[in-house]
Amino acid sequence: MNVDLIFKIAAIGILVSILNIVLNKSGREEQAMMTTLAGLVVVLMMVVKEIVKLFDTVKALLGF
Amino acid sequence: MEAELIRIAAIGIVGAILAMVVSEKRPEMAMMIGLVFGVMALVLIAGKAGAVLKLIDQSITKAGIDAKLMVPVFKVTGMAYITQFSVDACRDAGQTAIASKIEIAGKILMLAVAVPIATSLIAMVTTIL
Repeated sequence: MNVDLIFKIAAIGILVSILNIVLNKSGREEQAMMTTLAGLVVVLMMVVKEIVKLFDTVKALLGF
Repeated sequence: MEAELIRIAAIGIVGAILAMVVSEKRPEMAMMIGLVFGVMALVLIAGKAGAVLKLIDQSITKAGIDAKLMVPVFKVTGMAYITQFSVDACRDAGQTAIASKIEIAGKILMLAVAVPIATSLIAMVTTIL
């Protein structure tokens, strides 16, 4: 279930760069930037959740 | 045991290749892949680490040493892990200045956890003398 997350992030990265290229080619630089930002925020949400899980695991494991 | 290692190694290689593919256009996504892998590897082995820690705890209590003395040791280990994780993440992002500040903060806080043990040792020695 966790491997999916890595693939998901890589897929989002590829998708965002393709969208970026398409939007840039059609002369919509602002939208291209917004797509980049949205992709980054989506991935960041997922990663932050995982990092919280890691810190909770370390906390529970070593008791503090 | 070795199944976990093989799994983590395989996922690591796949993650590295994916990060390489993505990093050309989107270096921030490559960093996210690295972070997620770091989390995943620890969560996968957390159960085993817990078993080892429990074993250490049991032998300590069998030896008649106060289990409270081991708490700071575990605590500092956990703090070191968290510090190392965030420092590595910042280094990957190219922010060595932030990384070294986190390192300093971690070191000082670990020292703050460890100092009471040292002072209690000194107090014990002075009572003997």
